[in-house]
Amino acid sequence: MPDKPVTPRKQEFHQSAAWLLAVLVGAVFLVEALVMVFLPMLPSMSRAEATLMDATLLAVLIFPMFYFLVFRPLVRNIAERKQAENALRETSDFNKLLIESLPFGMDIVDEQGQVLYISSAMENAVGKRALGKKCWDLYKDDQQQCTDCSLHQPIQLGITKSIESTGVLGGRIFEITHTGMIYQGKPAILEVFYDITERKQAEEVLEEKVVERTRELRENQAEKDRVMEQLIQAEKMAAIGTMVSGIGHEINNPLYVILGKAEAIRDESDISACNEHARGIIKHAKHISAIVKNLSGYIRPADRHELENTDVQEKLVEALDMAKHSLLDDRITIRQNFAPVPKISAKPEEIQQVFFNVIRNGIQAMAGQGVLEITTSREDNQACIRIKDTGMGIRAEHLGKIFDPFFTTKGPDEGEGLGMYIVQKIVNKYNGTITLESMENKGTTVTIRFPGIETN
Amino acid sequence: MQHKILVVDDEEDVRNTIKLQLKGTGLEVVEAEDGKKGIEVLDAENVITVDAILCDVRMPNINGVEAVAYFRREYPSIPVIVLTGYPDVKLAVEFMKEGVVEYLVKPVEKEKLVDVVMKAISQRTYSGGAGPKM
Repeated sequence: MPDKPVTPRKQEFHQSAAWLLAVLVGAVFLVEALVMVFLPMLPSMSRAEATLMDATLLAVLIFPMFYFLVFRPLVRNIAERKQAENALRETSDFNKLLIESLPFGMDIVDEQGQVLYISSAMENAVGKRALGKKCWDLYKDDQQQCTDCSLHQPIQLGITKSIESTGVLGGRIFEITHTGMIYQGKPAILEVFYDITERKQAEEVLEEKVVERTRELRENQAEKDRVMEQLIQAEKMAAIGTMVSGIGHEINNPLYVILGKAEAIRDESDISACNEHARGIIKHAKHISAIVKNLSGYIRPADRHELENTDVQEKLVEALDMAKHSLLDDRITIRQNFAPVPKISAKPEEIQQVFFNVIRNGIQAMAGQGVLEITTSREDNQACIRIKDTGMGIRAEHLGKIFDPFFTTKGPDEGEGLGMYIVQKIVNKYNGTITLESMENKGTTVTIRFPGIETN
Repeated sequence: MQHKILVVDDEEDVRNTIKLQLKGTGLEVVEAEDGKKGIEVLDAENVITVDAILCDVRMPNINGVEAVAYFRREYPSIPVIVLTGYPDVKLAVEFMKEGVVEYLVKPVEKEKLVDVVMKAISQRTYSGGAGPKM
């Protein structure tokens, strides 16, 4: 029959009893030894007197020894143990209170998944008695152990693992942490349950919204790109329209001369006079033909999509000619100072549009009178173009907005404010830069730089 | 009495065409190649003798818009006809507000030009305000 285990209390008791016996025996022995040593030195006594002295000595020595060596340590021991027990009880009560007040569920299960402890919150959620039951029987709707449950492997003390489990307590989703520990002397798992159902649902909704929003943004961007392309085309057409009306004026004058001379021929009988008129008609008809030929060079039939080696000086001259056609008068002096510049890789009509917009703005700023100076220069491998006017300038508070779409200081019929916005868009497209310097009533200088085509 | 018309246009060929079309009307044509010259001529001439002004719009120095404004301000009794190769409805409205009698767009047929000029001359007034403001 196996020995019954000895509890720590019993052990203590045995130890203190052995100590007491040892002290008693030791004290008696000591006293008797003293008596035997000193008795012969004393005057002779009767047996009774010797016995009385023996007993007295025993009492005088044993009691203090007993008090200091046994009684006091024992009392202190008991007091300390009581204190420790109280502290332990307090800690235990505090832990219990803490656990019960936590906003999530907890339990402790053994290696077989059997519940050894369960917090009130968790037991209330389960709605039935839990101790002794398997945790998956209690919590899982399908009563199947989670496939990634930590209990499939040996318990590792102090290690925490996390799993996500669906179909818990009526279709909820829980995040469950498992921490290996010792409970009641045996390996166990501390399980903490976090209900993440709402969070998961919110994440799903958010993800759907993100997908939807991304799709919307992509569609919006595509729409914006389409609208921008249309605006650029419209702006180009408007510029061409302005130019065409200016060209109309140039054609109408020679047409008028032709009409007058034809009328004169009709009313004239003198042949030589008729011949003179006819020569005039021929001359002005040719003049009109030249104007139309130039015009067809400005308007390209369709936008080509390929980039070309573009000569910026050529585009500047074309843009200048186009802009001059829309002038009401030509009291503006144009100064050109073209130094050699590298060609750039771009769509020529877009570069022409950039220069036309800037030149037109400069001319309009001068209100019919002033100097427009256009210079080109090479800076490193960049083509640098400066367009300077002596017009009204741009106010300081407007300078920051000059490239904003629909920003304009002109009247409602004089432009929709897209010119400089489009200029900047095209300049940026070809990795160029554009800067403005302006002083009110003094004028504006626009500097555009394009990277040149690299030549080996 | 021979009537006089001031023709202001920077193109010599155009001025010659106008003269050609007005030939046979008995009108004396006085020419000016821009707005500034037109004003000088008007100020120098005995103002009573100019009966109508035919003015282009797009010209160097002082352009037609400014010249017409001057004519209407300083010589309100002299009718002004605008003759331009620059068809612009907005501009036409502005000129009409200034009080020009007609806005013609080149090319103009002889018969039309003569008709408009003669009608304008008939509107010329000679009393009060006929001369430049002193």
